[in-house]
Amino acid sequence: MATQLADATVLINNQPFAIVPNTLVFTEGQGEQTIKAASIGGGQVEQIFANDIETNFSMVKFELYATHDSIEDTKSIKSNQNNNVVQILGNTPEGTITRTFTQAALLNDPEKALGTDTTIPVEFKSNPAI
Amino acid sequence: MSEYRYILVDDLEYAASGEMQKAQFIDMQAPNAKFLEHLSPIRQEVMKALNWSTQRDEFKKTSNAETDEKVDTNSVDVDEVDAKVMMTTLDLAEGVDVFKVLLGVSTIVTSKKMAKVDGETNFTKPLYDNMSIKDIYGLTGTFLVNFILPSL
Repeated sequence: MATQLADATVLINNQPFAIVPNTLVFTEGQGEQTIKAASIGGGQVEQIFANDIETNFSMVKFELYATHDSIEDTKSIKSNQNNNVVQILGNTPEGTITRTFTQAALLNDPEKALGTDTTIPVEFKSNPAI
Repeated sequence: MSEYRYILVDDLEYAASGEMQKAQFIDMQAPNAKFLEHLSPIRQEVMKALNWSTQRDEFKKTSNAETDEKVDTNSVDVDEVDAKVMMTTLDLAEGVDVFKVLLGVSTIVTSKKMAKVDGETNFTKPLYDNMSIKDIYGLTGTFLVNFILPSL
């Protein structure tokens, strides 16, 4: 029986952040690839595989509740430009998943809605996950 | 003393300036009255340990005087205690709750602005949790020797 990982710890610059459950998403930073066909005649094709290294960045996004700390901390993280480190740590009975995202930058300008059911969505781009 | 440095023995990685780096030392600030809730139980356990050590030495002197043997005093002289001796005394002393001391010190040093890694980055609970046992005991002993013992 396998257990879904739905309860990961998020650290930004060594500090744990309490995030809105079920909002954490990340990519490994392995980028996008294309396959093109090159004709070698006679109806035959050869595969041309290309790695678009422009897309070799990881993405991490999640949502935070609008508390005093999350409002102030996201402002400070944004000012840090690409000098942040985001870490994800998730435990399941089958094993542990850890990912570290170095030189992470908060690219969006987070919308900080102040209300009872509102959240602050944050999205980082970083070096490929380690 | 208002600040003291603990040199790490084992590897500890932390995030700084966008990269993961190996920590060399932790600078700890002296606790103030804000941490009384945690300091009082720590002081109590340290006093119990020192008292146990003194009584043990007195018992040895008495029992050995009866047999006229030379006694090697093992009691802790507060002025000569280092971190290792402090933690060993706590571990050996009867009736001392070492976990209470470890927990209290960890709460204080991981509070905002109470300790910095390599002089720059805040020392947080996740970093403390990643320390080796050797460093946890070393850090705790250093804290006790430099901040608690002088206050006795």
